[in-house]
Amino acid sequence: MPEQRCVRYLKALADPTRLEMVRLLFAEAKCVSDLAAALDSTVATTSYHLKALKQGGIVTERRRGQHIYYRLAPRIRDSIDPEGTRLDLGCCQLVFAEGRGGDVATGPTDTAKAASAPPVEVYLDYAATTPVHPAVREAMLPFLDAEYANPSSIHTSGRRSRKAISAAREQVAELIGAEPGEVVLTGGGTESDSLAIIGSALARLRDGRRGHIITSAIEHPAVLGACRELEQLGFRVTHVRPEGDFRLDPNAVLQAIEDDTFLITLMLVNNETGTVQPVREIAREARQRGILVHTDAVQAVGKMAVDVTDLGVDLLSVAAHKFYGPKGVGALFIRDGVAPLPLAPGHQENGRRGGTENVAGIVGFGQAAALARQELEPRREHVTTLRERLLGLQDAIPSVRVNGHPEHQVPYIMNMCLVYVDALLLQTNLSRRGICISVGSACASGKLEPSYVLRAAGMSDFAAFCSVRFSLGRLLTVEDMDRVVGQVAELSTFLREIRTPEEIGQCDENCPCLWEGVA
Amino acid sequence: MRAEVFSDGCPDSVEQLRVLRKVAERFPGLEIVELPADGPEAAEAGIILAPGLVVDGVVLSIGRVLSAGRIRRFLEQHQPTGS
Repeated sequence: MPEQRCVRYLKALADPTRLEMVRLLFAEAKCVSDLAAALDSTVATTSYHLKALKQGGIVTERRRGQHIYYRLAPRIRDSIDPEGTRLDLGCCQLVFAEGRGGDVATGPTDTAKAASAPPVEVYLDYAATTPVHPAVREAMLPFLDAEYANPSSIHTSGRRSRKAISAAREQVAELIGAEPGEVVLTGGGTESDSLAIIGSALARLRDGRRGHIITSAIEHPAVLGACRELEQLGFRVTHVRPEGDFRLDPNAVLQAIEDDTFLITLMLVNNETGTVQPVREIAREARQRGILVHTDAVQAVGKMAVDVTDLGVDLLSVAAHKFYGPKGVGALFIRDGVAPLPLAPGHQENGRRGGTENVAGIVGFGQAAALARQELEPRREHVTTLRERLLGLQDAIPSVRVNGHPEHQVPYIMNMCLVYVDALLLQTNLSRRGICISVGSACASGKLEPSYVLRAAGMSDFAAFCSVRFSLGRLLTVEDMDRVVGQVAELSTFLREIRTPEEIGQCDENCPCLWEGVA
Repeated sequence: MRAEVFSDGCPDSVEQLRVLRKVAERFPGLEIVELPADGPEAAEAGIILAPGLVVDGVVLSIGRVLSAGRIRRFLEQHQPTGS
């Protein structure tokens, strides 16, 4: 049997229920309700599996009177032994186990195992967090076990912990082109943002001054929250909106500068759309005017080359868990000569961040940083291939648009508007089928709010409520992308009939109903 | 077929239940189950707002009342085609 066909069969059979269905259909042709009863399942679930088997060429259907009966395709029927115990696909054999699907007898292990295992979860939410890399985990383990000493202790054990932290700091510094002394290890991206923004403001307040801060309307809540707190203390904040292509206009940012502007804080890569912001261009101008520049690079580091000298920023936030490191650890690059006030005073981190260090987390962070530096290009290539495959959605279903800048974009994040598809319903139903994606809408005060990022770029409520985020990573495969495209296409077809546009959200002049070529 | 309505007792939840019962008059095989919107079943189903409607494992609505016509259309397309 040709390998391609075998792979198609195996994909269609990648569920124990479907194997059991093949066994039942070998005995006799059945209608969907009989099959559902035999499987002790629902008609809807059985129909879903039948459709997959039909698409995979495993079964065929035939109408008898009012009913549709399903039978095995002749090629599949001929591949089963007369006792109905074994399906020989040529590339591997599947053994039926009555009542519980089948097992693989022989054949290529990885693909064949998928046929007997439950549906594997496909995780496309790498922008939310990433799985810890095995090498990172290995590096951390000794510091969760024997190497438990406090790095501030001066005995031998403590010095070993201190040495491990120093090595990790160097690894993180190398990843962003900084000096180790410019890296302050923190408890994660949010803390790094707070230290940069609130710390800089407090340093100014200590001298009896307040002033003006520029940020954007599409920042992470960590940055927006810090700015909001400072507004309560009498600081003024300007939120610059992005253009319709989700990118900030550098001139719009620079034009917002006032006499007492002391800080510009902008993200390097947007977490919802993956659009790269013009931080370098803005930093060049701002620093000439003596204004501090902070960038939240949490979604950029590990996904693209980031160099603090090239960017010209004074402060830069990093989070380990966005690139296969552990949660609860991050860093803030603080350029030599810049001195935000510590939020947690203490002697650690040269007085810039107090508290006993999370040694295991920091060691893992260092290892993740080293891997990210080594594997930056292969990871990018891999994800670019996945992204191209995922773009197949545009061919699979009508009226799909990518939200993001066409050029200034990391391949890891793809935000798509599936017109007339309620994104929350799509996400929830995909989740029930083992596919994890994200939507930007949030539940607030008992009702759904559209993504503030998409709204800030001028999208209508309707378009925002139809948008989903796929974020990609190293453990995904091309086959996963094909499965996602298939599932999204299938669900979108019926979800488009469930809601009217008015029920999804308000239209306006930016509504995709009005886009050229959209039905 | 089994329809689960996740309700918090709000007017929309009451309305969703009423609509569903009306639809069920034409689909005698439709079993209706009312579940709390803050219970473990709701969390498992991904219902973050009431009312929620799940039919045979498919989430049809979250936070809004799904009309009788839409429910009917779904049931007609997904009801048993065999004997």
